[in-house]
Amino acid sequence: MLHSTFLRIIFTLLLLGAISHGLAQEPLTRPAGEVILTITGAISQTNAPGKAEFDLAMLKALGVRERRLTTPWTDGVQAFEGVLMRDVMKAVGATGQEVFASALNDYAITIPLDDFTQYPILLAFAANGKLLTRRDKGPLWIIYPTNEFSELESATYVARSVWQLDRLDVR
Amino acid sequence: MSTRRNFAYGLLALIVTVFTVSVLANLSRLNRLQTQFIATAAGGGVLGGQPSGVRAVTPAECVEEQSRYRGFEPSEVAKRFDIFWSRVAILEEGEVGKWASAFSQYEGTLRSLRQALEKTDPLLPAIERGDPAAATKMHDVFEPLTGSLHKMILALALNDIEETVKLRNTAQQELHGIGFYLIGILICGTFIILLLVWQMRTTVRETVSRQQAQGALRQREAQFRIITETSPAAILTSRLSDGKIVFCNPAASELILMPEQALLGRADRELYCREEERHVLIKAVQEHGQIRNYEITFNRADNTTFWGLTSADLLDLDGQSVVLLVIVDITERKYAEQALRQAKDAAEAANRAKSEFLANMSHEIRTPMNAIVGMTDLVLDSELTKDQRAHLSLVKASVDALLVIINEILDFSSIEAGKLRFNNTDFQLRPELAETIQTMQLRAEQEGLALHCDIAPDLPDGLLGDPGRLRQVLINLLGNAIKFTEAGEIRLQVTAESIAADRIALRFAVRIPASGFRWISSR
Repeated sequence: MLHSTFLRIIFTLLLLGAISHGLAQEPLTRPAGEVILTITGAISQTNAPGKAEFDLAMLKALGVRERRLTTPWTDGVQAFEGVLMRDVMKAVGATGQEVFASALNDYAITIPLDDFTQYPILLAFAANGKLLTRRDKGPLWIIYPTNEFSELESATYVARSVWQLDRLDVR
Repeated sequence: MSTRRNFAYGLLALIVTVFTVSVLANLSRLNRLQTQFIATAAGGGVLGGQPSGVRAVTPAECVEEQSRYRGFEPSEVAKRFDIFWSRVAILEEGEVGKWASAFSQYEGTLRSLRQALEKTDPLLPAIERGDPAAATKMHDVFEPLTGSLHKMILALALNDIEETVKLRNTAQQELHGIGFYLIGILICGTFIILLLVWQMRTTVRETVSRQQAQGALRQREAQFRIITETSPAAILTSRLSDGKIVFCNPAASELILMPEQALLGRADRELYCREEERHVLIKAVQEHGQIRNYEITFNRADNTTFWGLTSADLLDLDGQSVVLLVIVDITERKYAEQALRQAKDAAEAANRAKSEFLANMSHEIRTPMNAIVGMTDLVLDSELTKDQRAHLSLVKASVDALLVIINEILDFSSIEAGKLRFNNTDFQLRPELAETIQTMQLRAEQEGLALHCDIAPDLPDGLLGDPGRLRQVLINLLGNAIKFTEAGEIRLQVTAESIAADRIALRFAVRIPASGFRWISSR
């Protein structure tokens, strides 16, 4: 009994530690290179007045993932490289319900934040070992893992696959 | 009933299966539609931006816009060029590329656009440096393509809308189909559940009633068991087919001196002392269905035997013919009966011996008596004094009387000894009777009485029988009548009691006056 109480205290302390670690995030550094993504809105972490700006190095610091995915706009499986959208949202301390994603080509759509927690959605910056340029839908491309989750095969998620992304507004 | 229910189940299950297969087929069609839809959605208006309608801006338009409204912004032109490049690429690659290639009429347009892009790409560094001439050159390359481009975009967009509408309609139809089938499945499912519930209720009810019936049956069984177990009569049943004993009660075990377990399965013929008695009993019970109170000897386990008053019934138990035996031990009664019969036989034998003795004695006595009678008669025929004659007459009378008595004793003894013999000779009824009556009339007159004889006129004369015995009986009857009548008339009436072809029964009636005696003798 005493033993289990002791364990519970230890566990609680550990949990508190984990939470405080989560809360006390490292402040965002300033981008050194070209800014490729700007995040505004309901975020707790910023590195410029009212916004968080990312260059490629900062994004890569969030943990690069390589994923083999398909899209309706490419032939066959592509080896995409990028970071998870949920990691990006976590890095800026997003607190809202959805995110308004805008692209260089004036396209814009609202994506629920739940998508990012529910699925490993990639914010790709490279494909098949080459950085994405504007000509091949760069610099950033939100890619839903359609080939891994068949329920994502719908027009809704197709519309949320924003390419040439450069701004996110958390709401 | 059950067949009909099974048929209903089968039909419902078939409908459900068919409907489920239909739903699955619909779903798979829907899935295909979805893929098609995605391709359309991903491609439709693709030149206009992402899947939905952001207007496509050609480098030419961009250049025009730049120069007309805002002043030349080289980086914006470069960006628009890149974006336009990517949009053209969208119509060339992947699912969307495949979809777009179906519109072969725009193949040329697309190729021209690609060529224009390749051609103007080298101008970009100059444009970025702010060379208006390069921008103009780019504008001039794209300018003639703008019209066909817009036409193509419009056509693709229209097709996109049409496709979408068509797909949506098909999808809706599929959905309706799914709905219809789902409702069918629901209805059938409900029916199946209702049927199951109904069947369960029936089953439960049947089970309950069966249990109740079983309870009642058990109770009755228990009652019957008590009855058979306490019955003092031995009860046994054996199969008719092989004679094996299938049931016995404690009384049977006790009677046969064999435990129940040993009795069961044993052949019933071992019980009978005499095989033929069993044979007779089984045959009789097969013929009549039942027999009552046969006296049969049975074997006991200790090699003794007993008498059983046996009743048997042929029963049908569970489709098997069995013989039910109810045996009551009557050995003691049987012994008592035997003793009684022996005693009776002994008594009868003794009596017969006595009669024989008497008959013999009478015979032995009669022999010297004959001498006495003969000698007395001889002496009476001789010269005698009056006193001597009187004395001898007395002796003669006494001897006659004694002879009559002895004769009667001899007859009686003969009857007792079984030696009385009837003759069977032809005789004439009327002369025979007349002779007897004549003799008796003499005696009657001595007593001062009258004697008459009435013979019915329908009687035949010639008869077969023993006239001597008849005379003897009549003499006895009439003699007694004369002896016991004071005065008046004695009348012998002879009538026929019954007449058949070869036999006749005569009725002899002696009537005497005043006193109500009536002597009847018949033959």
